[in-house]
Amino acid sequence: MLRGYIARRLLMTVPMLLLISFLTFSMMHLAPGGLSAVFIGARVRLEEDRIAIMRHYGLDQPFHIRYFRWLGRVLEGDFGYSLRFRRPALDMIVERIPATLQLTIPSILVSVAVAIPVGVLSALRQYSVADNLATVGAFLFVSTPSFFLGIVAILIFSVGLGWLPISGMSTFGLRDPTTLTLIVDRLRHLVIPGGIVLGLGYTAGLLRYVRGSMLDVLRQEYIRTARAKGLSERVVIYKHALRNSLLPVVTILGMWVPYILGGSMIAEVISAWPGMGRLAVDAVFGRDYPLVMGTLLLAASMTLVGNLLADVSYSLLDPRIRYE
Amino acid sequence: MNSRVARLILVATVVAAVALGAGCPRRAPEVEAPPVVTPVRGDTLVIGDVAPMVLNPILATDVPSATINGLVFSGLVRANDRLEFEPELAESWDMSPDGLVWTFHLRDDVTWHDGTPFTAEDVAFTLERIRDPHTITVRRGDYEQVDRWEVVDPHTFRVYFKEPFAPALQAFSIGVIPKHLLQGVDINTAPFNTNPVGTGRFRFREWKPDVHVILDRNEEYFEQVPYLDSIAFRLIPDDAVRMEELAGGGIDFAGILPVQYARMKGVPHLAVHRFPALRFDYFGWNERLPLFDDDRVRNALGLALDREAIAAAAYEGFAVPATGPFPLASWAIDPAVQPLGYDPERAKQLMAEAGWRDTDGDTWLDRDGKRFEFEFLGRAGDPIAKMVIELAMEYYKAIGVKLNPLFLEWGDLVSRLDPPRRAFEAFFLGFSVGVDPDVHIFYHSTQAEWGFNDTNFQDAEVDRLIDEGRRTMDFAARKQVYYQLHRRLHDTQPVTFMFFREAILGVDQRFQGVVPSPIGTLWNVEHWWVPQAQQKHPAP
Repeated sequence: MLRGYIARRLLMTVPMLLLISFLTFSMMHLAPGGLSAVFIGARVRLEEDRIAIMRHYGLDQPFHIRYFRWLGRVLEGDFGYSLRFRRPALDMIVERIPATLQLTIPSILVSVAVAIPVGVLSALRQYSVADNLATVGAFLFVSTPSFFLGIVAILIFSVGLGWLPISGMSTFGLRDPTTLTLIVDRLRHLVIPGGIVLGLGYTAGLLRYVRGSMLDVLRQEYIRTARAKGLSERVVIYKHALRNSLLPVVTILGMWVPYILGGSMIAEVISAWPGMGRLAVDAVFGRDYPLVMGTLLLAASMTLVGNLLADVSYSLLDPRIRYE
Repeated sequence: MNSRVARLILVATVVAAVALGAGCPRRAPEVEAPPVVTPVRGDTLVIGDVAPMVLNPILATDVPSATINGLVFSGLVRANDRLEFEPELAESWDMSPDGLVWTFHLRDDVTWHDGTPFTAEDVAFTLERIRDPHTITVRRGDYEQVDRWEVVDPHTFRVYFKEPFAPALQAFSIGVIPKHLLQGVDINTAPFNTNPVGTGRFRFREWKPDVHVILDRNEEYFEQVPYLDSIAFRLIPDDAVRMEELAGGGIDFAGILPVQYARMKGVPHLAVHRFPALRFDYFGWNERLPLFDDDRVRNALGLALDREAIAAAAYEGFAVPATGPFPLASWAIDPAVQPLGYDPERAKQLMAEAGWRDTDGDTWLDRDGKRFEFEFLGRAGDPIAKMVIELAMEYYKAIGVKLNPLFLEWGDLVSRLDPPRRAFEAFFLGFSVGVDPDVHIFYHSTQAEWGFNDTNFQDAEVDRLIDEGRRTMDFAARKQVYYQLHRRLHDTQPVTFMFFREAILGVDQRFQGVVPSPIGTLWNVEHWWVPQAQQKHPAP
């Protein structure tokens, strides 16, 4: 049954992706700006040059023709050339994946490692000082805009205290690096974008879900049954309650899947991290259609895959859920 | 934009010569008094900038690319800090008596960074690629006056012009590209554009996308071989973060935001320079409309503005009132021309002479039952433009003129100014002017249909002087023509000349020989050096 369900869901992603790509393509072309934004500051002097450039990029064609041409090429694996960098959009995207993974995977792992125990503890000791602290902290970090968090962190930890580097992924011109110093250097660069800008937000959000879900589960009848059976509190909590309370967490993790590859626009721009998020922001501001469409298609696919993964893992984790 | 212009403007980091007077063309600045210090080799200059796009001088349109291309490539000539052209790949040049045929004598000791000898074939190839309609470039317009060219011998290159053209050297300051690497390749997408090979002072080492671009000293450079081992461009997209890196010593060289000027002056390891850049800001009036088709009205619109106050409020004081379109360091400027003063009474009087009076008592001027009111376009997201326009609105209100601001995205704004639409009444815009003072494309009547004479300015005397400036080959005589043109432009006010923006640049104190210039402070970087004891980066 499950296999059929997955096949159906995968099939459904095709029209979804088509719709998303069409909507984005339309938005990009309806947005003010146009090709002249590509040559920002440099106005084209000769009318024949203007026409030649428009023709070269296919911008002299009607919108629907452009869309179907783009789609046709994408189906053949050709995402076109960046209008400004004049390089294949796909190359530019692929070369940024490693940097993004180095940012997102550690920050998600750390968030999960912190949020689950703290969330569970918060729930078990509801309204205790620790719970209140965790709650206030979570609200604070969920509601602080991450660009603000990033700048403040740079001002405090890098500029003020001098503990961490200001920006970049590694120190420029590091002298005689050993493997160990290289790793330490990378980790130091990771603290602000990965730990603070991304990590605090992720942790805060996840913590609230874990706490809420745990509280829900603890009120369930099977917990009362377990206790009534005389099971130790330890077994009740860790065997019965925890496992059930983690179900909604899977949904959240599924929603995070697109971030793993898509990176974070804000963390990457502030910290000059050479990843996908920064590329996407740059592409949008530069009206670089092929690059925007490429990054977007990737993000959209990841979102759909993430949702699917979450749904499928539900059915694996919870025998009550069955897909017809 | 003109060829060299893109290469030289701002150099993101910017620059000015004025403060330096007419000094030292590309020579190491003289060291003051004893003890005489001998420059030593070593160290890396780390520049903070946004990412470059295309490392090919005939394709690039962005400033960061232009900065790097200016180091990796060389032109036949290059500009010095007095905005004059001097020899680079061309040792000398001469022209026929009628000014139509220019012969460039090229150096015979130049090799490309890969060791291949440089010849006149490369120059011809560069021009061919620019002319080729397949090449996506905005440079073709710079060569409109060129009829044809020929390679006389490997070190002699001849250009035939359609008419005598004094500003020609500017077009030949463009970086020459290597024929042996680009022949038969689609130049628009060539891998060369991310791995360039030139003849310039520095050779390309690597480009890690969104991380850095590194250049190394070209040991074979045909003039002064740089003292610095390398120049690294760290690519940092956020302005505020770049400032922190500069203050913290993570980078050695970066443009500074006006709001950060006072703070950066206080950073002990930084030398902070300020100087007028090549970019000037102006108000354009669509003279196709009866509203603006009158010198008196345009003069009044200029006199109504208090430039000092606007500079202080909108530019944090980093702007110098402009008297015309020529950069402040240019030899074309007639020093006798003074900026329009702030004189609202005189402005009202001129408006009245042009028939604009408040006849219905609603405080706004009117003529034939029509109010003096217009839509004024500015660039969205530019805080300076926003402030300038809001202030102008108040100053104009004081003389009974109604300005209705409308802020548009850059692309949208340009598409309304561009031919054939010309769909605007008035606008605020900046332009980076060329090293040569030829302003044909901006103010000649023939440029109103397809050129950058967006406002349709028409004046027979200005046309005559612009044409004469293009035809006059003798430098002293040409200078006199531009003095006259400057005065005539000031009298007729084709646009309201507002300001030259001042650039601010921070450079680490350990670098010796830094000479800020409007053409880009790296113009003499081959002379920069760092005393042994202060060197920070070991040789690569």
